[in-house]
Amino acid sequence: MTGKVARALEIKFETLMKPGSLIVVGTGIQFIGQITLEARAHIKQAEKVLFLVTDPITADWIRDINPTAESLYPYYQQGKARINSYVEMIERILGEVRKGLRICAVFYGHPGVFVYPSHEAIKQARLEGFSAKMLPGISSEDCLFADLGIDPARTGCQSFEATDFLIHKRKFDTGCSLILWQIGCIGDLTFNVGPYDSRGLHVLTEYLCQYYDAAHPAIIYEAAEYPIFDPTIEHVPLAKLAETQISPISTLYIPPQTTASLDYEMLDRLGIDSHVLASAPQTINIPAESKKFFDELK
Amino acid sequence: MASNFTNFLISFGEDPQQLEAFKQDPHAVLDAAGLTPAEKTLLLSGHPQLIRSALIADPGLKEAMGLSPDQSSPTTLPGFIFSPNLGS
Repeated sequence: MTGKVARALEIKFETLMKPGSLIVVGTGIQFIGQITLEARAHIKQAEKVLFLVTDPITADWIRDINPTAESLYPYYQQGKARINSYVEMIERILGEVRKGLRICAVFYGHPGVFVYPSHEAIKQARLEGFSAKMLPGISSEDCLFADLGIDPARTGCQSFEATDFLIHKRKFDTGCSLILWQIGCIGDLTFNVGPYDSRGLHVLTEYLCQYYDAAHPAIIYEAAEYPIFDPTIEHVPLAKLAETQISPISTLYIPPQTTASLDYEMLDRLGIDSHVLASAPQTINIPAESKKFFDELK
Repeated sequence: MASNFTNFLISFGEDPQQLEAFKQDPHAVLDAAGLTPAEKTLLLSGHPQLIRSALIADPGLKEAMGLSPDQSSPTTLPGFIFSPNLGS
């Protein structure tokens, strides 16, 4: 099928779809300033907005530009399994779409990163014959790359939710950057208004020390919520991780411990001149501040 | 409802030069903004959680978040705590 024919069929299909649509957007991490122009436009033009954000100013701003906006936060409850809340949120979103309305669902950060209801709502809406789409937003990972000066292309980057990482024994490469999310609530699948129990951090620390040196530098990171504050960037030797104060939004970044070696057979196969690579500087992607910190410890 | 305090915070996201001016001389920028002494103290505290707590204490903002007046608000960001896929 040619591209033109496929596109024509797609347009035809969209016009045959039921009234009612869903667009899912994100607010970014720092309120307001990281919302894209198109996300703002969709929020403003939606016939109904449902949102889930972590900052009251953002919540107020959304309601200001679209008075139909309603928070999904009430679906969380202390001690309630988060998955149950998510299912209710999905049903709430779909309920509005089924009324034939143009719905905009707004989530903190990137709406598709660490956000279960967004993807599921889109999936279900499409199954029911509605038009549904997600627009990208700025995620915590994007902020981490910017704040720590990490280019994921340089040594590769592995990114896991911390509990998932442990219970599935995810395979990982110590020669690549490793990002572990939500280290502050390892093993706790409920919603908690207060601080989470950080005992899972001991388990994570012990596990990671099987693969990395005890003194390997790690960074505990939290993106800045407000533009006037700097992000939290705390350098810690890996073995001391469990002794560090963290929050539910703390993220662990572990730079590569080893430098990957070249596969000369693959270089030949791809027609890459190994002399060109051999002359390039080999650097491990350790942030400058981190290197300085650990140099001073010696 | 937007207030002078919330509008001031929002303005930093839209005006990088104001943000830079604040970092150079926070007192001057805060004085020019017409904030109350308590608001200035909050912004100079360096503690995002204090700002969050103050915002949530505002009934209008609490209502905007979807919290009822008697509902406790999180002491830390609840975030979007993703439930790991336990099915696989």
